[in-house]
Amino acid sequence: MTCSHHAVPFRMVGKNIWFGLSLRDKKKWDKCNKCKSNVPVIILRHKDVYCKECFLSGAAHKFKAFIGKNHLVKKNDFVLVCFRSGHSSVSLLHMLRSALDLQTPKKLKLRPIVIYIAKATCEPQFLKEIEDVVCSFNFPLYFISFNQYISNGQELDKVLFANFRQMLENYPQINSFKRTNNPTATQTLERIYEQQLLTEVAKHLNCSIVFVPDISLNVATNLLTSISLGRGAYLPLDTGICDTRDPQITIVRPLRHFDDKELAFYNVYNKLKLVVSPNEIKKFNNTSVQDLIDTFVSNLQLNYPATITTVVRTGDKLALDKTVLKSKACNLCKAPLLNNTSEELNSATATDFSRWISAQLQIFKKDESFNEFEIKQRELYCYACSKIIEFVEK
Amino acid sequence: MNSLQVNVEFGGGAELLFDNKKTVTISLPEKKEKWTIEHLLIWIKDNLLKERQEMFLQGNSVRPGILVLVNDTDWELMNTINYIIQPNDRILFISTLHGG
Ligand SMILES: [Zn+2]
Ligand SMILES: [Zn+2]
Repeated sequence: MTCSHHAVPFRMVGKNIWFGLSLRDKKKWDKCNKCKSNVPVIILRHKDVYCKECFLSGAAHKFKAFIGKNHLVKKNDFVLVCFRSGHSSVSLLHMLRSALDLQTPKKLKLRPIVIYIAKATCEPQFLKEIEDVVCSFNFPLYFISFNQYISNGQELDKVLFANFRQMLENYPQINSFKRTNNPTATQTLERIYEQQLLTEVAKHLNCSIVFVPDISLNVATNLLTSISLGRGAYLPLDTGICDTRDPQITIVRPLRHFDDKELAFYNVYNKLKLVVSPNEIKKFNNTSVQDLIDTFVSNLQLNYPATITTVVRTGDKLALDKTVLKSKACNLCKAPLLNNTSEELNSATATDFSRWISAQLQIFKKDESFNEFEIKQRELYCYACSKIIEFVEK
Repeated sequence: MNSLQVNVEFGGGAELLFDNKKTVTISLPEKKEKWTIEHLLIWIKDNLLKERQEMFLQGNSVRPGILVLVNDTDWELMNTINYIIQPNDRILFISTLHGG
């Protein structure tokens, strides 16, 4: 086996060690955990076994219960559904369609509108596949290019297309999203802008909710990334059940309690056609904080899947003080600015101080006391964004 | 000579490593030992997987993130690489590493 360049998640492999499977476990797995009669076809989190019927009905139930329990949608609301390459989006569309078509009182009542954000240069064939898949579920679909939004986002009419061919015709030749020389900052900015795009398009299309197809692994990764980037105070917004930083639009991750195996099997058993972008294979590059944490979380999932569940459930429980939401928003991430009431030197103050020092070293900067400088920073950006902005300014 | 016929399928983006082929019917040559998935993986490596082997294989198994189903059942319930292949088995390799 040749050595790969990427740090790949490890797991014990060998003839007798495989997820700790032993003959004793095998016997335990004779019958489905739920109906206690059928032969199981899937094992989840290395311990729970289900037959096909119980697995599929369990998945549908988990989805509907999440939407219902959290009172996320009002009757007949328009919901903007973000479509991505891979398993999760196709599962999400199928779960939505199945719940909408129910003939029971549990029938879901909302009106999905799907959007695909083209990030890289997209082959027409790939966009056609997306169109075919979304049409097969009978949902309206829009295309938008990320670059076009960045350069011309004020006029959504001109960058939002119901037909991918029109989008390709209007495709900008230049990449208007300026990458910083810092991969962590670049990825953070991309995430912030994508979220703004979804919020703006949702308003434009009269949606009140956005569904993002993040699964447990993404939520856990985002949660740990937020902590590492000094966004701990915003965990409830960044990774909680509802992101309510915008007063009109709520962003929800309805697949947050599913893992990739569940959704892959869900798609296989429902014979769903996937759309897979050849450019988007997971590489485990480890060049940014996000990538490092992604690798770390992927390893966790492999070896200690219960830990991921615990991280996501912890994220579920976090809530932001309601009064905080009314305060002024950060210029970049739009999260409410938190007043720094403490007199102690915290890491936000420390960062401001080092920036002030370097500003003082530039002779053309006019004198400004550290206190004034800090107040100015805190009025514009949250602590994490003030660090990101540094790379943008450069 | 008695060869063992199996249907190998690729999905979730794994097909991109196999000339975009989603299904291949293969005849495994007769041999003294019984054919297990571990042997099948070596056969696939030698006969179907020309490049980027590290995207599909790791050690004597598949790379983490590639799921395997034998006749629609999770191979983790079937002893994984040690499963003894039966005639006309349908073995599906599905990637979760592509996209999203
Ligand atoms: Zn059952
Ligand atoms: Zn911010």
